[in-house]
Amino acid sequence: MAFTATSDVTNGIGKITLAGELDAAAAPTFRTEVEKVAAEQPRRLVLMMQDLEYMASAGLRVLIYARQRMAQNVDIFVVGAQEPIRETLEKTGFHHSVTQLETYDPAVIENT
Amino acid sequence: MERIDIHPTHTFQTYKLRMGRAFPFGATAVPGGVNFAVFSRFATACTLVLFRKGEREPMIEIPFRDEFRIGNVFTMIVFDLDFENTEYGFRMEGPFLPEQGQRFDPNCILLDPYAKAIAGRDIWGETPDWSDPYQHRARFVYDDFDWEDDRPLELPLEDLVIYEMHVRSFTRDPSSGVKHPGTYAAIRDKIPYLKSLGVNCVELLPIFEFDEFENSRPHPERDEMLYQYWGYSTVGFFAPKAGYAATSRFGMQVDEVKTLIKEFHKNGIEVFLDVVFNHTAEGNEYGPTISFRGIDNKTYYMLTPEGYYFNFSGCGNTLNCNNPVVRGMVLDCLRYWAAEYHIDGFRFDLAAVLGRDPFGAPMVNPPLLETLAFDPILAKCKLIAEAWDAGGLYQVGTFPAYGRWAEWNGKYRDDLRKFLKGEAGLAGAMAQRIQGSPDLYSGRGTGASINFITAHDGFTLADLVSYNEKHNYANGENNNDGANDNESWNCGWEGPTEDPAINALRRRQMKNAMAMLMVSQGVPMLLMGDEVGRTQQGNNNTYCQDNELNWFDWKLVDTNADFLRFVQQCTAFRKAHPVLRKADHLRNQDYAGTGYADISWHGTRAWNADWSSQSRVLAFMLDGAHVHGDIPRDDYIYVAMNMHWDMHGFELPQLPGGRQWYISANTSMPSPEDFWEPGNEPRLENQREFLVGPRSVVILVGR
Amino acid sequence: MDVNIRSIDDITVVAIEGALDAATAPIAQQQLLPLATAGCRILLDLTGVPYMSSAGLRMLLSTYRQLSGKDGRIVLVGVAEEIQDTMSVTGFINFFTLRATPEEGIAALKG
Repeated sequence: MAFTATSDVTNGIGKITLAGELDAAAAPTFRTEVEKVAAEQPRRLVLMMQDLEYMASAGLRVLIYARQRMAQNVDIFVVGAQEPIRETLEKTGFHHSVTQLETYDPAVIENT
Repeated sequence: MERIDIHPTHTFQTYKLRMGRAFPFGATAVPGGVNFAVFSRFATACTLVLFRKGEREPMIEIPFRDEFRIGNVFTMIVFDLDFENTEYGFRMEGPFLPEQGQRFDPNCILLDPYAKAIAGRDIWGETPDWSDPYQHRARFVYDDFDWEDDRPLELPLEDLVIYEMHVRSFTRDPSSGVKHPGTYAAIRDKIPYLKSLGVNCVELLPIFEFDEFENSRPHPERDEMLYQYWGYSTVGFFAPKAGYAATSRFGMQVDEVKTLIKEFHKNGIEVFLDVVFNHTAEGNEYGPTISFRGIDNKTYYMLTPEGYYFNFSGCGNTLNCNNPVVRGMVLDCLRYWAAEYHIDGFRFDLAAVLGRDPFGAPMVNPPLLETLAFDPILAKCKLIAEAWDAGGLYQVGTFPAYGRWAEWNGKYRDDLRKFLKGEAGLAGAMAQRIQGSPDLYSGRGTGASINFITAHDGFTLADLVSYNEKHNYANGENNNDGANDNESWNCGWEGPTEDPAINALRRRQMKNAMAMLMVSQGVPMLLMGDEVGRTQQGNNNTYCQDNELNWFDWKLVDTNADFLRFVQQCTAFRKAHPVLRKADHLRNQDYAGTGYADISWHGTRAWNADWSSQSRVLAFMLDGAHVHGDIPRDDYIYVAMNMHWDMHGFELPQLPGGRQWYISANTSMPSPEDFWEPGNEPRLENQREFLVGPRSVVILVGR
Repeated sequence: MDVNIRSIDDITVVAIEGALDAATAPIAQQQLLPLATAGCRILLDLTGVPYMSSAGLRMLLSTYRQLSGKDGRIVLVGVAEEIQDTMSVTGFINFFTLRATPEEGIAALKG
C-alpha cells in the first residue's frame, strides 16, 4: 500500500499519522512532516502508527532524526505500532527514547 | 625662552603677517597665529580668503607675497586670528586650458585639501544656501585632545570579528532610544550592545567630510530626499563628517569622534575607517569646483590626453594616487588619522585604483601601496583592500600585498553564497574558503582574508534568503543600479511571506551562513543589523536612502532575539576556540603527534569527503592540538555542512583517547537548542553517526 | 565676562559670569592660574555661564591638569544642562567632579 503521512499541531501537541509502507522511497515524505511539526515547536510529538504496515531502516532513521530534531524536553509517543514495527524499535533501542501506547490516551499524552 | 619667530614682519591692512613654514601643509596653530601652507604646481598666484564664521562675505583677502612662496608651496603666518570663529579658503590664479588639463578659476573660493574641520553641512539634511560661493568652509582645530593612556589596541588580525556599520544608520531610527540619534555620540551609548554581540572591531562607512546634497533629488515615491547617504564621495580627507556629530554646531566634532574612539578602545573594540581615495566629490567636468580641481587639477586627477577625467571609480573622476604629491597627501592623511585619532585600521574602497599609474595602467610595484605598507607611523595599522575597481581590474588574491595588506575576499562571499543556496560542486571551493583561502593567499596567512557574506554593497543577510532579484526602484534609477549577480535564493517566494515553512527555512539559512562564517579561518566581518535580520526590502544598493531601508530598527533586537542569540553564541564559540583563529594556514598534516591532521575532511562517510560535481555536503574536523605555542590544546571541532535539501547521516570520525563528541550547534533546532552554552553541550548518545537535517549545519566538540 | 573670587574656610570659590569663548577664556584662565597652588581646593561656580565654547572647555581642562599636578582639587557647580551635554559628548566631563549647588560642591571638596 502506498505510504501516506499527515500532520497537524493543536494546543502544542504535534501529531503525525503514518499509513502504508514506510520504505526508502517514502522516507523523505515522513521527514517533511517531521520538519513541519518541528517548526511549530510542539511540546509533544505523537506518531500514530495503527495503519503503518512496514518500516525500512530509512524510516527508522527518520524516527531517530525526529527525536534529535525535537527539543530535548519534547516527549515522543508512538501509538498503536504493529508487532513487527514494535520489534524493530526494540532491536534498535529506539524504544528507550519514546513512550509506547496502545491507543491515543489524552490523559497520558496531553497532561504528562 | 621665547622664540624669535613669533613676531610679525609684514602687514596687510590691519593684519600682521610673516613668511610661513612650508611644512606641514594646511592650517596649523603657531605661537601668536596660524601658519598656512598650500601646494599648487601650476598656480601663478594665491590669495588667502578669511571669513567670520558662517558669513558669506570675506572679512579680508590677503595675497600670498611672492617672497612667501617656497617651491610650489604658498606659505604665510597670519597673527591674532580668532581661532574659533574664523573660516578660510584660497583663490588660485592660473591658466584655464581644459584640453591641457588646467582649470584655474579665480572666481572660486577653494577648500584647503588639508582642512581638518569643515563647516557648511554642519546639520545633516539642512538645505544649504546654494547662493553662497563658498560651500565647504575650512576651519581650524585644536589638536590637543587628552587621550590619557589610550592608544590603538593592536589586536592580532586573526582574532578580530569586524562589524561594518554606518554612523547615521546605526542609531537614527527612533527605536534606538538615544539622546542624539544618528551621531558619533549615540554610538557610544550602544557600545554595550556591540560588546554583547562579541565584535571587537567596528569598521565605519566613510566619515571623511562629504556632501549629502551631492546629486540629491526627490524620492520617486515618497515626500523625502534621496541623498549621497553612504558618503563614498570625499570633500575633505582630513575632516570628520560634521553632520554626524551632535556637537557640530559648536564645531566640536573632532573631540566627539576622538571621545568615541577612546571609549571603543576602553571596551576592547578597534576602530577601522572605510577610506575613499579613488575619487572625490568634484565629479567630472560638469561637477562643482570645491578644492582639488581649482587648486591643481592636473596634479590631483587622472586625465586623458585631451584633458577629460578618467573614470575608473564609476564616480566621474579618478584621484591621481600615484602622482608623488597626491601620494604624499594620502600618506599624510592616513598618518594624521592614525596618530591624531588613534585609528586601528583602514579599509580602502576600490583599492585596485590605487595601483594604477597616472595613465590608468595597473602597476607591478605601485609606489603608493608600497609606501603605505612600509610607513613607520602606519606600521601597526591594519590595511585592508577592496581589491577591485569599477574599471574592471579584479585583484582578489593578487593585490600587491607587501606582507601587510589584507583583502575583502570577494570569492569567499561568492562561493559561500552558492554553496548556501544548494548549488552542486562547491565542496572543493568551500574547503579553500574554510581554510582562509590558501589558494588565493598562500604565504600571506589567514589574516589576508577578510571573510564576509554580506556588506553594505548588496543584499543584507535577511534579504539574501528572501529575494532572487534586486528591487531598487526606490533609488529612482528604474532598477538599473546595483549588482545583478547576487547568488541569492528566496527559499520559494519573492519577499515577505506568511508561509511558516518558508520563514523557518530562511531563518535556518541565515543561521547556516553565520555558522559557516564563524568557523572559517580568516577574519569574519558582519554587516550591521544582520545579527537581527535587518531587511532592505530587496534593495541591494541603498547608497541614497536616508530612511528605514538603512536605519537599524532596534525593535528587531527583541523580535529576533532568538537569531541574535545564535549570532552571539557563534562569536563566543569562535572566541573560545583558538583552533578556529590560526594565524598561519592549516597544513592538512599532523605536526602535533596526535595521529590526526590539523584539519581533516569528511562527508557522509568519515574520512571520505565527496568532492564531486554533484556534492552539496562537506564536513571537516579540526584537531585542537595544532594550536600555537603557549596556548593549551583546544578541543576537537567537527563541522558538518549539509546544503542538500534532504537529510543525511554523517559518519563521525572516531576520537582518540576515549574522548567523546558533544553537540554545540545544530541549525535545524529551535532556539535555544540551536546553540548550546559552552560547558552545557549534551554528549551524543550515538558517537558513530549524526543525522544532519536538510540544509543544516552541525557543530560538534570532541573532548 | 567677570570673575569673582572669595574664600570659604580654606576653599577658594570662583564665580564666573558670562560666556566662556575664545575671547574670554584666556582672561578667565589668567585669573584662575595663580590660584592653582599646592594642595589648593577650588569651587568653580558656573551658574552665571550661559555658553561655553570649545576654547572654554579647553581652558577648564588645562586648569584641571595644572591643579592636579600640584595635588589640587576642583569641583564645578551650576553647569548648565546644555554645557553638561556637550561636555559629556566630547569627553571633557570625565575629568571633572560636578555638583548641582555650591553647598554640595563645598561638601564634595571637604569630603
